Amino acid sequence: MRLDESNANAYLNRGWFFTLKRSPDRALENLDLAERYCKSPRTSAFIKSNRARAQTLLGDLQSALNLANEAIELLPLAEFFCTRAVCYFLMGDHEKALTDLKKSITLDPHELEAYWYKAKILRLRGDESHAMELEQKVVGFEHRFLF
Amino acid sequence: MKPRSPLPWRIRALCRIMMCQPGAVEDADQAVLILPVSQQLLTRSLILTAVARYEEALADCNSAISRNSKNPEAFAIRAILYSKLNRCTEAKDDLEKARALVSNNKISATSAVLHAQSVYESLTGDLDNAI
Repeated sequence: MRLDESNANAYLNRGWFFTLKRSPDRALENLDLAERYCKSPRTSAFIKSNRARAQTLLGDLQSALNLANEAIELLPLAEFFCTRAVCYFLMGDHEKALTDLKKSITLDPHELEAYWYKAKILRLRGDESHAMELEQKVVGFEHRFLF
Repeated sequence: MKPRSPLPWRIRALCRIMMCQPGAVEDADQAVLILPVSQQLLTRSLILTAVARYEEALADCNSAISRNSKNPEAFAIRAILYSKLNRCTEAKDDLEKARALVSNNKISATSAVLHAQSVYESLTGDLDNAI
């Protein structure tokens, strides 16, 4: 097997997996490499969104939000709205988080993470039954979620 | 004048999706209309995946595989689709088929196959292998 050392998407994915492993520094190293080899706005949008996720792990929520905004501006994908929702959620702005989660689910009903965070917010608001109903959609996929 | 070969449509579809421009699905439709072979269907499947139209992408991928069941990339792309649709068992089956085709034909694993494998492993929690 020959490794393609200039494949931006490979670094992008590895960055994401390091984020899932809660190693934001290593994630950002890989995202730097992804950016170096990035040739398209689409990949750039994914890099920004993944950087935002790594920044949330580092606790720099304002940078994360700025990056999520940039990703959405480039490409309004369900997963990017979910990234921004996570920023709002961690900032305590649950109303804006819910708006983005709703948008995310509308754009892609398979975006399980959106259900997960929506359930979290509804639970915080005391709507336990609705929260449990949403959680049923994501049973078995908990490892995907950072918070 | 509209090109009669599917290639320009296919290339423009891929460029449009990477450049975040509209019209990619329509271009991929044209390519399939001109020559509905496995490669055009796979490209349209990728484009439809990129715009989160997974069920239609899956239908195209199934058609592509029914036309050519020896392309490991087709199984890898379907594995990613199944992962997106949270159908992990089917994703795993397709990954095994992709890997078997790579090994039987003694060809290099393409980035699509490796990508599908890492996506699947991340979904099943094996992040070290995914990395």
